[in-house]
Amino acid sequence: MPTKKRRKAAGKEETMPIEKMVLNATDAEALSDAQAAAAGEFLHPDKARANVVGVGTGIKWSKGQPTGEPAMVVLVAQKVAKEHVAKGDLVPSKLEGVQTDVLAIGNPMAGFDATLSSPTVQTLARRARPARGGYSVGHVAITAGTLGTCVYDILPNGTVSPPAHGVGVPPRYYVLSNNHVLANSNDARVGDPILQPGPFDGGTNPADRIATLSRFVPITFAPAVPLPQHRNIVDAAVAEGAFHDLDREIFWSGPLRGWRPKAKVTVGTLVRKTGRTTNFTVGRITVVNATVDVGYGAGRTARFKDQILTTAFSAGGDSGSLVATLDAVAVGLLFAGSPAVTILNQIENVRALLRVEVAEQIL
Amino acid sequence: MDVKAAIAKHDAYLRTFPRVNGVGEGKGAKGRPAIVVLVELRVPEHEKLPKKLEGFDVLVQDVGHLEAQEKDADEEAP
Repeated sequence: MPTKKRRKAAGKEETMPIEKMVLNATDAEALSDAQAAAAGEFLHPDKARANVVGVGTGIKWSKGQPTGEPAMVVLVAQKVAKEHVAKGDLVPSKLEGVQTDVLAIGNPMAGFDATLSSPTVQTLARRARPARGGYSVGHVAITAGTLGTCVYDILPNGTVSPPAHGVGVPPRYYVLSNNHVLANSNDARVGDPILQPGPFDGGTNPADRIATLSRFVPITFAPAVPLPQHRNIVDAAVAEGAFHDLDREIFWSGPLRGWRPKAKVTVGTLVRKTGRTTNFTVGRITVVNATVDVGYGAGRTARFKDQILTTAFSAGGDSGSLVATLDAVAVGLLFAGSPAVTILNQIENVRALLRVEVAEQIL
Repeated sequence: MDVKAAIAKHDAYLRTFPRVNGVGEGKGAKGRPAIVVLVELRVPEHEKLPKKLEGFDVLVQDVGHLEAQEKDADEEAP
């Protein structure tokens, strides 16, 4: 199969035509026949081609850029130079009159978290003092999430509307993460122990206690409260710790330069995070001002307004990760996702509701 | 009317379609603001979604089932 570069390494903000990355409903419908034919061609047990693990519909990419043209996407375990592929295993350039594209995805496994127990993802699951953003953390009654960063109370004369930084001495320092990581989805009590690493990663109380729960923004859940009545905008909490145990730098990313007001958070921006499970990853903002319904297990769902959606760049255990632009400006707090997307609270809302400062500049 | 207002106005209507789990603001043709309907799974009823609302393109994005991303307790501990 021919090899080609799909995307350039993310070193700085690059501009890609977002509209060319979207497959509209009309094109998707037009591709449905071709997709059925492709599935029969590539996935039938009697016709199986080496290296092909799936087919789908999408956009043709060329020279690392989306062309905007609909294409049948043939999913392969890995890309292999054309000369090393048997003639019968080559992917044709067209199928049912539709151009094809080849995308390497590895060998997919059942379960969203199927790859998460490999040795490389355990690094941030260990104990660290001081603990930086990206490491495992959690309430004693949960499994584990991610320590986003370390923060402090908004200083005297600091405001949230309009946002402004204050001046003075921070009275307390905190670990910042999600409600469902630090406050067990509303079920915790102020003063409960917070462990680093989280319990799933071997953290025990009191040996690994890094902080105690200080405050959280309660989440309204359905079915107890019908979804249309929900006013959730953040899944966030802070736990107070000793200054010398907390490090506001984020593993592999360093310190934040500032934070971005929600009015300036825009579709197309590249963002990065470091998380307990998937380590350092980069995504792109695809939707803002989103209202989404998120599952919390045990039949509970919560509707959140004013959310940011990105391309998928997280997995279970990354909840609480601080998400920033590639030039270190905080934009969101990661809390949910699926194999297709990652969802973030606006950092401005987190700051305003918890009344904590994540960085000194508004950028 | 800006796209934010258009979303607020039509959010409830768009949620009457099956498997819709979100609505938001994205970018459509030529980078113009668009209304994005987030769906858990594509179903034939989505073909009846309007192509435009208040002059904004309506796009459908398949996002799957959205879940809080705490570590899954069923996995093997390190």
